Amino acid sequence: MLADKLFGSTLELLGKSIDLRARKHSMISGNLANAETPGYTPSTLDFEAELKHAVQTKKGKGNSTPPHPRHIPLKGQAAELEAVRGRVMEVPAGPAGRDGNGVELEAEMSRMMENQILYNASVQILAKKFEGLKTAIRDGR
Amino acid sequence: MDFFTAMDVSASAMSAERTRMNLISSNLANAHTTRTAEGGAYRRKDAVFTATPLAGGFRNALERAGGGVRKVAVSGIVEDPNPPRLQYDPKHPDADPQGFVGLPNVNVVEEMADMITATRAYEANVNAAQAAKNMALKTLELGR
Amino acid sequence: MPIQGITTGVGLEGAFAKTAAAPKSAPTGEGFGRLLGEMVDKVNGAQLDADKAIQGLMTGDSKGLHEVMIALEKSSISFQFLSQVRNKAVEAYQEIMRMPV
Repeated sequence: MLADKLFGSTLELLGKSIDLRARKHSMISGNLANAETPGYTPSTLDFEAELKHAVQTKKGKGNSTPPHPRHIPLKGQAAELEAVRGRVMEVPAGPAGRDGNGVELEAEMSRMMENQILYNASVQILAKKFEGLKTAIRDGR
Repeated sequence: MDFFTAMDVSASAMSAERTRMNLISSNLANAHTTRTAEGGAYRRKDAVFTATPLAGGFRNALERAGGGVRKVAVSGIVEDPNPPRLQYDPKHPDADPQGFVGLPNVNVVEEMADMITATRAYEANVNAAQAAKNMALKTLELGR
Repeated sequence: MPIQGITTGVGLEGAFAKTAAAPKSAPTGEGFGRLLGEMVDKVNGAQLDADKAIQGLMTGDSKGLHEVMIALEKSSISFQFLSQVRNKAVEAYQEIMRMPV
């Protein structure tokens, strides 16, 4: 409960975002690796809408069942955020090539760059928030 | 954990593309070879790529966690089934009784295009591996 | 009065121009106390703004990375500013209490 008050939901959101974007990078790597494989359809991780919904949930509504019995169950918004897993879906791409491969190299590269930038931003913002907390605890010195 | 998975996938792609480059080089080098150890003209070789799920003992758990991430593997090298090009040259030492020489079924222009594609794919995967490394290093800054 | 001197000397009103309308001729502790209270409110507002901006970025609503970073910097700096103001005020108070009467 103390942790709930000290680390607000923004920190949870940032942590979750980092997690999801790392997984998304794995998927994009998989797509790039199979850019020449016949019959391969690229897939991606869709989580923005889920995150938005979880963020807008009013506090106190959710109650998560923790995966492990010794985990402390989270309440409210933190629970909603914890439950966001992201959906693996196929890339709504253009027509497949001659060999059935649907990977567009340029699209994947741009997606990867955006993902990387947002990942780095999340990490940096999280570090800054922790820094702010440390400053507050250290009493401004 | 996740970044090593991503780097693994990129590494698999890089070695697959490198294999393909080797085959392309071999095809280009032997574009006019009429005599091979197996007999007959050189036959064009191609690599077959397959998307393989990530290896691991806990396959189900990994597939659930990986969400369908697959790496690529060269599942085999096949010879092009097209017949060799015939060229009329009765003086050639390898000419058959009718005077035709069987030349390899290698289309140089096609091989060059393949080479460009392989290079592009290789570069893209190098980029992906670098991005993964970059992100992992950035995460370390959380604790700085 | 020493506490009034702090409010007029350091130019804190310059940082919060809109609240300069507050009467400075109010009795000793109240002027500074109210100023501090307003600063705390502003810092809180800045923090909430930064939080909202972060949420917007994470959910893909706004692609304005620069806005988020600027909001974050603003909230961080204003918080540190508030801390320092508080520290200096406490120091000044202690200095005064130390004076032999």
